[in-house]
Amino acid sequence: MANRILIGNRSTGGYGMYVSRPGSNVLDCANDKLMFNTNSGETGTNFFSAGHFQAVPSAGGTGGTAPTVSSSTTVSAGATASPTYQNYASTKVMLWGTSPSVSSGSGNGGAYTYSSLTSTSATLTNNASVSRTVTNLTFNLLSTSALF
Amino acid sequence: MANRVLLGNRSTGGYGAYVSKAGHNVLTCARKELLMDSSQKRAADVYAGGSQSSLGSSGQNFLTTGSKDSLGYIPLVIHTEDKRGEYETTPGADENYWTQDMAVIETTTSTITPKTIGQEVSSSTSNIESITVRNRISANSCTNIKFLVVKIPCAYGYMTSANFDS
Repeated sequence: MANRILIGNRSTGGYGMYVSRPGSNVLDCANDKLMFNTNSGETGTNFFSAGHFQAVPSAGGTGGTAPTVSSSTTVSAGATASPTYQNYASTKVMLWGTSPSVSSGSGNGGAYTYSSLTSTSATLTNNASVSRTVTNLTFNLLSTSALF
Repeated sequence: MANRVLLGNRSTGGYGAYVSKAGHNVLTCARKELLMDSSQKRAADVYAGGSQSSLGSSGQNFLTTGSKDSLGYIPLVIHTEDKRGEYETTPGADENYWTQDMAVIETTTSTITPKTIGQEVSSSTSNIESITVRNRISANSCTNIKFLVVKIPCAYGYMTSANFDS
């Protein structure tokens, strides 16, 4: 069995915690074969990851309270609502919603838009001609840079 | 408090690194209750990402920052933009166009590019027009796009054992 976990000094990457993918030796495998590492700002061919894909809870998540990941918001036609989430990543969040089709073929369809993001809430606008319900998910965008 | 972190031999999964969700015992919980499970082939490590106030038909190279190597496959890109949701228009008496989500992007091994959902014949002329009514407009461009590129192959020809198993 391959070495899978290293907490210590790796020849590529230095001190940190590393976990390799099944079948790959964590001590000397290529970075692409790692599924976790505590990166230290590597770039170029040594770059591994910018972080883990993380959902920002809409509620809970402190102490023994499990986080509530999503919220559901019903918005009238042409109206706005204010879905909220916890301040885990300030304004560097990506709101991603999903909504059933409101009425295929009737001419009432329309987009929904997130805007005015703050550290704890956003404005959700329903551009459709009828009411719709949106399930909101918020993701940590991980970086303050425009591109990373 | 439940055991949350295990570096060692788990009854389901074997030797590895495991972290459970709050309130779940990492030693015995179902796999769906694990935040991290090194027995799995792929996890959603974020390789690149960002936010742009607008993005046009030239697209965005997500490898540029940090001069990252190509992953060697077309990755899963999760994105959002100003216009999300369905598109619908009735340009003529007997015509109706509907699609579930007009926020379409094209992803390659190095770029993302917004794409129009299609074109239609004008109801009043013989011109071919981009489908624009009430939803994403300006054809191959979008505004306030945010995206995360994760290290999971997500394209025909790349979702193979060569990328998932080794």
